[in-house]
Amino acid sequence: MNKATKQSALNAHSWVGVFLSVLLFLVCLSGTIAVFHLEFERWEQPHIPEFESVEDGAVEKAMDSFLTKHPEETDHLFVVLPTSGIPRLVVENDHAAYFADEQGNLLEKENVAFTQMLVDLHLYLNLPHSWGMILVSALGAIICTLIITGVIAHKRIAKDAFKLRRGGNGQQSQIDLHNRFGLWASPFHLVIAITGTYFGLAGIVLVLVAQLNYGGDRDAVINQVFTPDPVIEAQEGKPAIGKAIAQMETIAPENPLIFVTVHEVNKPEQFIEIYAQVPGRMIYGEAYRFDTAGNYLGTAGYDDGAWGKQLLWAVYRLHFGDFAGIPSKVLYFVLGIMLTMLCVSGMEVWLSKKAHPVLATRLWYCTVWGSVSALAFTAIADMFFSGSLIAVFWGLMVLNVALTVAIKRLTKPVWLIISGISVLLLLFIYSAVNGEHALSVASLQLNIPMLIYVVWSILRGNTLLKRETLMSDFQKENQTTTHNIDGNGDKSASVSTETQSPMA
Amino acid sequence: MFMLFAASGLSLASIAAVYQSWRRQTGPMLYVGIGVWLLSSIAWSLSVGWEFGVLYALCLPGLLVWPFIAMNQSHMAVPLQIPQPRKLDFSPRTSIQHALHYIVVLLLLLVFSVVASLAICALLPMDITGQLATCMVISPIIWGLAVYHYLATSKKIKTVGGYLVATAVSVAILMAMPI
Repeated sequence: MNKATKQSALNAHSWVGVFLSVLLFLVCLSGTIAVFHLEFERWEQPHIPEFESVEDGAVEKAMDSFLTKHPEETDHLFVVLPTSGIPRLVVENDHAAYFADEQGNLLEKENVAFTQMLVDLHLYLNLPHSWGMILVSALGAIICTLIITGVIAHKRIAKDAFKLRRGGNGQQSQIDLHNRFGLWASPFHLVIAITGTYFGLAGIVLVLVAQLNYGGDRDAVINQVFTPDPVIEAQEGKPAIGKAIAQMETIAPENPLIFVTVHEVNKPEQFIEIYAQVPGRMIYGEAYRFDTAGNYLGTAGYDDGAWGKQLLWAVYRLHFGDFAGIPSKVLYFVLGIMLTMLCVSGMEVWLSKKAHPVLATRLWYCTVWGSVSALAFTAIADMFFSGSLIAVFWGLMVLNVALTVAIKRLTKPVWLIISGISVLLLLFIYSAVNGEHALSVASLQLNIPMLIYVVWSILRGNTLLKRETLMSDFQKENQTTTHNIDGNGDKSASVSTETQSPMA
Repeated sequence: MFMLFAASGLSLASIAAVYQSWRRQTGPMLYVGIGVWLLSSIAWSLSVGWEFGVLYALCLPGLLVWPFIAMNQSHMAVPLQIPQPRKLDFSPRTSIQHALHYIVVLLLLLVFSVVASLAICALLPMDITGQLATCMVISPIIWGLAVYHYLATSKKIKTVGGYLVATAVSVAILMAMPI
């Protein structure tokens, strides 16, 4: 490949990486954390009892109690079963959700506001959903651009494939890290980019195909791709959820049940649908359908349907890594950190090529480590405040920016330490609020990784702070020497008056 | 369980072979590495099913390569000169230019990629689910390539015109050959 092609690829790579860096970083960071969104839901209410199975009749008892409490009109009723990935029983309608114990006694209302805010940040960047999702999807396509241009622009892709040159002014180390992350994890990045783009583009494609080929009838397109509702005789009465669940032991005994939905509640077309995971398959699950009386009608055909239907139905698990329990989530989390670090290191390379413009550099680190701090404080706010967590998070981000502009000392190491202290504060307050439940599995599975982050960020921040102080002393010394040599008080052109320390 | 260990071992062995080829700068070891990687894909597929197996085989090298990179670290001396930070260009002309790039990259090329992908898929001999699934896979790649092309070219206006024409042609194809 000639030099001009590589240079033009590098130009495209730089523009996309720099001008969309903040959005890319926020989507990658929130997505990496959201891999554990089910675990965060458990973490938010650690005192809720957890179990693997429920007693006979527990589901119907829980639903009856729930309907007595919430008789309002709804299109759907849901039961999330303890084999779903969260070992809890939840009954809900379109408006409210309650936990129940294994006997079916109704407990308290589900409150997963922080997890919702986190997932909302990842899916929509907290923007209105219609165009927030399109913007996030665009970032998926942008990641495709970055992968393609990154590979083309790399002048020594084979020669440097295993190199990591540390030390120096840190620039080479950042370039090496960026290129190694980018090259070796590129298959994962491509999978995430393509599946991520799907979520926003699906709606656009649906509207476009419906307008062009189906006279604007979106349901006509949906019914061709996904399975339409079953055509059944007019139904009435209470849905026999328990009977339907009991039949699953003979219909699909190997498939763990995810959730039950009652569609078109109290309408003649009412029917029950049970979603169950299909072992060894990437598809979200198979749907088993029953009439109101609990008589089995058949499946929706996701497991054995057309390949296109199966592919579209596999996107969720492929994107979120939710297909083999904790091991697949850990794999996605680690590779997700690499993708996030790719954004960070890419921007650091660009900043170091500009010799670290002072304010821009501080603002970048405020975005990177300040967003971790803002997320921690948002989680703290969730424990005491029932208002909008989106407002809290973005309010904190704006405050971070204002502080960074005003206070010159807020450099990378300081923000790193602030992020560690924020998470530590979250752990303290969480433990104080939740008492003994802070030591439950639901809490510890996230609290331990958070504690590891606290230790790492504070140690790393301190190391960088010492390095920054050394560089600052070196700079002052250099300036004094230059003054003495010049003898006229002019500052040396080669030394910055307010240089950001080059940090590895 | 045996297949799982075998698959993990083969994944590691494939990276080790590629590393050896890189160290010695020899071609044959690279082909051995690729061969072992293919075997690891098969082993993963046999142990956990092909859908997960292919994914693990593709993603695991991203993790397994780090011990080899760590073995190959080197340290550079700290430079004595610290360059002066360069000013960033916020002139109105540059800002407008960047704003236009945003519009083209995020809006125009979105429309182009979706319509062009649908038009390509409409021409494929598949049922609607296959056509739409293929469209979902190729549209981000077409979008990504179009962004690269637009940002890399010096003839931006001509390129935008080209994409507008391609979009119009794609719409015509979609109207003539409904999905």
